[in-house]
Amino acid sequence: MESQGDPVEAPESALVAAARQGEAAAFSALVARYQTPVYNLAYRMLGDPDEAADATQEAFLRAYQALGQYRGGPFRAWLLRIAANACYDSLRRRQRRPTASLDRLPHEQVAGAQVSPDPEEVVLQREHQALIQRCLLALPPDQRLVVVLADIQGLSYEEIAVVTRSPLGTVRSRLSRGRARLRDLLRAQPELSPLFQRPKDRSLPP
Amino acid sequence: MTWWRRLFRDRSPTCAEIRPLLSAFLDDQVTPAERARVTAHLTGCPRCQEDLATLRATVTALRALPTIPVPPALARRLAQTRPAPPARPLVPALQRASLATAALTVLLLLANGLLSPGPAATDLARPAAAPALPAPAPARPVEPGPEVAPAARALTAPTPRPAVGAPAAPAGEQSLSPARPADTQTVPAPAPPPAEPAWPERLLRPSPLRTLALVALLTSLLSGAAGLLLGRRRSAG
Repeated sequence: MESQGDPVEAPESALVAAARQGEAAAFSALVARYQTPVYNLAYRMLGDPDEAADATQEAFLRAYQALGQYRGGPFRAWLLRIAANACYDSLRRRQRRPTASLDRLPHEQVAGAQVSPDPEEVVLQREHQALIQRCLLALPPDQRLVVVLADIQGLSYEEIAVVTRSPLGTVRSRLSRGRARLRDLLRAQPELSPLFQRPKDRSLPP
Repeated sequence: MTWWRRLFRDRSPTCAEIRPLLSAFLDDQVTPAERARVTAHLTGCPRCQEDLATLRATVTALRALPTIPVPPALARRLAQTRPAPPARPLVPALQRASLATAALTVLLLLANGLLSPGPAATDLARPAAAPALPAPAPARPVEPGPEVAPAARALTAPTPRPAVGAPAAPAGEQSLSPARPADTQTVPAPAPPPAEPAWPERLLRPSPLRTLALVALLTSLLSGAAGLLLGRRRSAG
């Protein structure tokens, strides 16, 4: 997934300024621009499409009302912080009632570049993705958040520090622990062993 | 260099020290010194090399996860919600107005002397004056009313009023006796005012200050209520 890190900054600041003045059209444009990353963050954090939808809507609602408090800096980080808090609230609410169908992960689908003509492989990839998501959900929420922000949303350490309101050192160690724990969980899944086989004919990305 | 530094200077970092750095090493988020240590250690440690490789594979697998498109139903909901405009400017303004007019009300009431011990002083005047002047008994209670009350109202400071009302026994007699000849003339006129206006009745007596105080009180209550309602509606919306 390509990094969502470089929307054109100049028009965005104009959009944000207009939205702060109460322009509904400007806010709608921001929603359109960020609904996918916000929804993806929520889904990866919560694992349930309906909960993720509710958290997404809640996040944009809160963002609209908090626009007066936005003081500049990366807007995406500011918005994702609100989204992360909405996810935490959803997780806290979930603790008070029996977990809904966490096994249902209907979103796992194959991205365009990876579509293989072999239907079996498609199903396999989908199962792998569902497994990875399940392992993600087994991480403690703090670690899950930084892993999702870094490796799924493509945020820099600095941006993650803004989202989590933590110093860089904390981001670094939390990400290290989260990735290591996820690695151990993935390695415990026999179906995912292909992930850890070193292919001979293709070089691993740096 | 201290002796213990000299002792440990050549000790190579252990795997336990290197492994927590591998994630940051992947992202090039290590200091130059750390990078040197990690690189040096990796060249001779297959276990840490394996560690690094599995971490890298994990990150690769995460990056390969598909971007999930926003479900159409959610996209519609997001496009349709017009969240209530930030009530922020209005609600605090109303609350400030409410507080300000409440403060104004208090000030006006103070100025009007309603918070001073007026009623007590005039109450003292009445029982003291009544037994002292037996003859025109029915008229007697009326006298302190019109006499003392206007005098009391004219005063802004509370302290002089006890001087008027409290030594009512001796002085009241004095101040009222010259008025006695005029009693019979003044009695019919001020008949309507009740004996000694009780405190709630004094509130109802018209006066510019009191009217202002009432208006201020109403304004503060209304703006406070409006602020509360608007604030509640916004958070429920």
